[in-house]
Amino acid sequence: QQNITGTVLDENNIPLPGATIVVKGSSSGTSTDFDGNFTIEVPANDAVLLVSYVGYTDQEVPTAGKSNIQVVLQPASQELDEVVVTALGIKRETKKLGYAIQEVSGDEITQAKEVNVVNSLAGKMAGVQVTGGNSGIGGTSNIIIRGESSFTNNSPLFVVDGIPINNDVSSNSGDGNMEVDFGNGAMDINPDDVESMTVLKGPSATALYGSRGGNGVILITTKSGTKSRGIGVSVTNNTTFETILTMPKYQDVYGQGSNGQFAFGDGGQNRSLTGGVNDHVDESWGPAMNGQLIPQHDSPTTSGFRAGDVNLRPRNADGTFADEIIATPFSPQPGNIEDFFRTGFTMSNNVALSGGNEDGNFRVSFTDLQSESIVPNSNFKRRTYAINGSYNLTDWLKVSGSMNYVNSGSRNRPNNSYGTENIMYLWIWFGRHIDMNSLKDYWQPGLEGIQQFNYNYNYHDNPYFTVHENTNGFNKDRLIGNMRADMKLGDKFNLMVRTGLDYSNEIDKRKRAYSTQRFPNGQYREDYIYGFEQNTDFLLSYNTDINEDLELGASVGANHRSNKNSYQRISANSLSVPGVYNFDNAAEPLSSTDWDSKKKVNSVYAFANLAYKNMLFLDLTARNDWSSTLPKENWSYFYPSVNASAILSDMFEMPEAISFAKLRAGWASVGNDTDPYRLAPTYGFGTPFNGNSRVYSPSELPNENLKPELTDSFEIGADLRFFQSRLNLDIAVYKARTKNQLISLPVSTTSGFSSRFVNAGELENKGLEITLGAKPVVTDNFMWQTNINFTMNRGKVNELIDDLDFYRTASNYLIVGAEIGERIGSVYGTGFEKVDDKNSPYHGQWIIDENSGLPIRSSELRNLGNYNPDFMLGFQNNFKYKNFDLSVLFDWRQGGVFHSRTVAIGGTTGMLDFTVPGRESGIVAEGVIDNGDGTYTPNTQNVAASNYYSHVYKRSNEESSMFDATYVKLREIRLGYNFPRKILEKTPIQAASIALVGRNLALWTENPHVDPETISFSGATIVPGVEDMALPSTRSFGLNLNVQF
Amino acid sequence: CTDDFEATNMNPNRPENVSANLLTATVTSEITRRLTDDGYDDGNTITQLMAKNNFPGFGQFEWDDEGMWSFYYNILPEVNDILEISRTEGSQNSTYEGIALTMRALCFANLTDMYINVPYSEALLGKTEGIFKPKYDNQEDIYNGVLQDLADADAAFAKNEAIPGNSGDVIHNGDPLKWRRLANSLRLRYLMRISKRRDVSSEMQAIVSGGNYIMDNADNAILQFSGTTNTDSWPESTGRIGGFDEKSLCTTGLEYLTRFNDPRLDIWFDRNTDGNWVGIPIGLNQDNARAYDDEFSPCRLDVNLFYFSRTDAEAFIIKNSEVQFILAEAAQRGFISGDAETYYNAGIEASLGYWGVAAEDITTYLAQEAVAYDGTLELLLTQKTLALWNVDFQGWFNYRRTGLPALEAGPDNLNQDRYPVRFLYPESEQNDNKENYEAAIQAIGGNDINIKGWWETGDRY
Repeated sequence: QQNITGTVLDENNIPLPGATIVVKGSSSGTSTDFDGNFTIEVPANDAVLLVSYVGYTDQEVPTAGKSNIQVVLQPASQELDEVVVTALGIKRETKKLGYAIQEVSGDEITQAKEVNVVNSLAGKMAGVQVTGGNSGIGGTSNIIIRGESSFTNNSPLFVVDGIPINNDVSSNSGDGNMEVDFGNGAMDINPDDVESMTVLKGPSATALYGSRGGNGVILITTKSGTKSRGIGVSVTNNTTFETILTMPKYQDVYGQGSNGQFAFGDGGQNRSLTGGVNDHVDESWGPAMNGQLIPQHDSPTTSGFRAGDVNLRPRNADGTFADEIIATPFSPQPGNIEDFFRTGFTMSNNVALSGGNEDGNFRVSFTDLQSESIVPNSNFKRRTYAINGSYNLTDWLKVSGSMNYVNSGSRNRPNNSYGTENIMYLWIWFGRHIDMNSLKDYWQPGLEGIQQFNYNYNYHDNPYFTVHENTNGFNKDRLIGNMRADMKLGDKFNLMVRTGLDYSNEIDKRKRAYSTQRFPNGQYREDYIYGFEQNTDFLLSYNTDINEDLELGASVGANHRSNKNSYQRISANSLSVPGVYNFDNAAEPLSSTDWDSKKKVNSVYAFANLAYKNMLFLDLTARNDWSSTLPKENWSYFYPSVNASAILSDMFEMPEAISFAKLRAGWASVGNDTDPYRLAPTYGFGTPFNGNSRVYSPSELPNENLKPELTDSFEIGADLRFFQSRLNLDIAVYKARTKNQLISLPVSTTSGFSSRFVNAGELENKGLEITLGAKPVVTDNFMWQTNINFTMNRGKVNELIDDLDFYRTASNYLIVGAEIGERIGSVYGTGFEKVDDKNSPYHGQWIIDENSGLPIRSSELRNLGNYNPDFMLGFQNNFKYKNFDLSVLFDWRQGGVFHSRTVAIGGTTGMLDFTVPGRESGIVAEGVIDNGDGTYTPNTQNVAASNYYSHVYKRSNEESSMFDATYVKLREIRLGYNFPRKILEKTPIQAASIALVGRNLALWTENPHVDPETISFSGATIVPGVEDMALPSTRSFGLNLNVQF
Repeated sequence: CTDDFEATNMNPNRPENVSANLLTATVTSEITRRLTDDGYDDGNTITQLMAKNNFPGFGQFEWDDEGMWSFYYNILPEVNDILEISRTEGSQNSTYEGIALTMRALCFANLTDMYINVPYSEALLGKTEGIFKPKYDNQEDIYNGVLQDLADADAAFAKNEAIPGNSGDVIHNGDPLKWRRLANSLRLRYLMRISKRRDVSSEMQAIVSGGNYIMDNADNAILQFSGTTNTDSWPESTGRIGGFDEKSLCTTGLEYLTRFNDPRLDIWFDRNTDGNWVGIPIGLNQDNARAYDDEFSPCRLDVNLFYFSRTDAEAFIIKNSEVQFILAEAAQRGFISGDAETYYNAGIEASLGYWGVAAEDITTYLAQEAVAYDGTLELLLTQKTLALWNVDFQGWFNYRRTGLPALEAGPDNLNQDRYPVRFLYPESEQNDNKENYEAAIQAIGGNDINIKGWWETGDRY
């Protein structure tokens, strides 16, 4: 026995407090103090110390003949023997890989924590495009890797500790309700429990995932006990506040009404008896707001009620009011809509306990997240319970397992899309004179629970009534877990056996109160969404050194997958008793929808890795899948991959500046199956009519001869490091071709079907990814690290089916289409007729209708651009000064277009600021009259501003509301401080850090009204390129506290 | 390990085969409801019985496909399925066959009346022939098919076969006699429609002589809403009051109704705030419509009948009154024997009777000078237009054929003061059936709302 003392330093020779030192082969260990010093007792003979630290590569240090040792650890991301998690969870050295792979550490994810873990990848990686949703915290984020390889589903596969999990979007409408975004599946992953996220971008990297890897794979490894330090207790608190980043610019000059006239009578409840002037008009073409006296919904009356208490005010026999409204000043209410929102608040607390030694490790973690949205009464909460452990039962058998239970829910999620249930809809049809406070008491007194109070009664709901009474709550239980055994069979064989599951059970509950415009007698609806997937697999691996130069690894494995999903919706579309939300209270027969599905996939796979002199590497993989969703003749399909890499810097003499150079190339093919029950046509059930059951013929023609979809890809890349890795450059170029796309192809309804399910088309994606990293300054006290990632992808349609040259992939106002020879993501819509004649001096001008003085709308569809970006660039800088660190991330997305429904409607209704000019003088539309003989005369006809704007921004004319989607976002800022040893010395606290964090703090873009980072929904389908009455986007800032014991 | 794959992929949720009654419930309810919903809103607007005081785009003739294209082509597969089942051994039934033929004829007649050339001979053959881009047929060929289907339907119903059990038919509960009357009434409607092109007298006369057509309100092809859910309620009653309030009495309609001192005015409309009958012109733009609304307070539709009650208003395909007016015109033009005045009076009686006017009031009404038959088509077709209140676009089709009663575009129309005669083909056809779409445009002379079809360009009168 002898005592060894030592110091553990980082690559800059700064002491690392809390590094773990274990005597190899024993259970004794310790950790460094705040000066990086340690003392450990070792057997007298030649012991080996295993030194580890989070984010650094483990190092083994022989102690023989030493009593004091100095250990310098190299950060994992900077180091040439960097190990990453690859397909099937196999850890491999980056330098041996023939494809691009990128990893984000858990630390990086939790630095400026996002509730939706997908968002934390935004701007951080080449080839990865993240688009945040618009329903606030708890909403869906869309992630696409290397462009859209499919016409329909482009979500990558998420794998947690080797077990695939569901990333479906939970958004549903129906039964008169509008969409509610209940989030995407991967959102249930708790950032605090993430050890690392690895992004496998192309088929070469994902080939072993077979059917499901076509869109890329995101491998999530959860934290385990091995990397703990100290006694292994960590406590973190993350508190952030959210405020509005983008808000439509409403005008503050003209109030509700039309033709400059307005007076409140009964809010349009009964047009014939109104007594008001234009109070049934829900647009803002009313009088200028100069404080003049006008009866309003919140004006007092001679009867003592508010004017808007229309159900209570005394009436004459003919139904007219017996009282008088006492007019009040008609004044602008700037900021009234912003005032409706509140500061959002998100607090996440995590406690994790962990420990480990040579024989095993264990970690338990509990996280409580509470988030209150900027929308009143809207929230999101999530509790995560994670357990993770492993143990070496014998020297040849290790067992491990992990279990994550997540309970998430909300009392209310805001509604999306266009319609009365969305508050953003209300405000694009609103009065600018309305004092929002006047709507806070949202019941008419004495009619609580029965009749809302509002400024309008013919179309709209009071926004406070909407958010407090008409709620969309949900509760979701999710369990993701696995059990695994690793066996060492002799020297050369290893066997892994594993089973894992992803179970989720979600209940959504919608309540609609009496007097809701769409549900005068209320509504109650429940949606049950059940998902279960089990994967059981084994992997037998063999490793040997064939000779001194040649190393061989070979494995065979198999996987059995089984999915069960069900969806049920039950709805009572009117209630007998107000306010009781229970199906027994239904005032009419319940309506329902019910769908169960099952799927099974069996797979076998094999792969081999050859290494020559540790500088030439060859990987081969082969996989065969059998899917129950395909017809018998086609349900078995095979796909191979081959990858090679060469470390040139080891093979040849290189200039001194080059510290590492590697070239890589890979080719892969992956297949894809489809959803269950797509082979035979079936009838759908309808709502009974007058007691008669009804069925509908299939609107889609299925295909009993479906084939699997196939993607071939080829990629080459280089990894170059200069000046002792102070400058790193990684380049990847790829080309992928997807054939036999499984698509629901819209066909002319005149054929008897709206669509048919076919194998069709060929998509080609080409792309370039560049990651450039540098450490321009490294001194004892100061370090500057910078990283730029650049992504460019071009998707193109090479082929469709038969003689088809255009395919409608989605539509939401705009038609998203695929046209042969064109880029994927082209959007089509209608616009105004323009002068086509290039020789005319009026070329490009609108053609004006002589009678109306307004531009003529063309019914022909035209290409309005492409929603995909030209390129994306993430720019990250990290600075370290003594105990301070600062990181700043910019996210730049160049190009692409989007359609703003907010602008289209806001123009029609006179709500937005650009509708003010011309209100007094009228407007002469800029354009020309067609003389019919090829000549044109400039238009001189003056039309009313309301007439002009409502025509130009008409909903059916998408072209006027198209915008450049280019933006730059200040995505993330973090200023951190690590408490120095001296402060903590006398406390049990081993390490503590505090950080100020901010996300999405600033936005630079063309359109002032809405955030171009947006997605819309059509059912559960994400429709990109359309902003559909999105909630204001938000910025967040707050504090991150991390304490370790 | 793939033994259970086929069983795993059997859909447990939805049937691959269904019986005719389930499809018949869908077809009869969907089509009838849609016909009346279209008539109530756009049909009444284009005949100027009603005008919009808010969102007046339709009355300004800012038109597109108006949604009927996809409605009819989406329901026709169900119609075809009923036909197939009704002709398949084991489930054979001539009454179902007749219902399917009648509904198919109705759908295609409406399609060609609204859009002129439409896919017909190659339509709906995706499943059996793999035709996903059907060619468009010309209106004459479509009409030949429509009339043949109705003649076949007549023959099928003549077998008088009962439907056992629940028929699913929400119009006549599978009564072959009543359906036969319906089919023959539609034949009369469509024969009259093409009478400018073709001598239809012998066919019309044969139907009249056969006597198997609607000649009593009891035979009206009517759908009564049960009001159980939103689905089986009068459609307007399930919407927002704002949507109801967008519709007003049109000045043109008011002129007809006052000229005739017509009791239907008070049945269909409510008096305005001041207790007066006031209309609004068609074709005002949004600003002018609202300004008019402010100044004059035009009457809205009867709120109890058309909004608050889920069941009082009914949907219909064709009623006795329309048939009588067809026969009146046919008699007047000499297509059939018989007295035009008698048919005219019967048409008025049938319409007023349907709307609940007492018999003695009908007599008084008929006795009025303005109402009494004067031998002019103008009067006859004005009365017919009123009788076609809520009956899809039949009033407009009559106007397109006869120009009566004369209609003028409103002041802010966006169609150079022309009265439009068709809807546009849907945008989706530009994508999904491009070549045939372009050929059809070529054939009819443009995708324009002012292009006339075959039957309205005849020169027999």
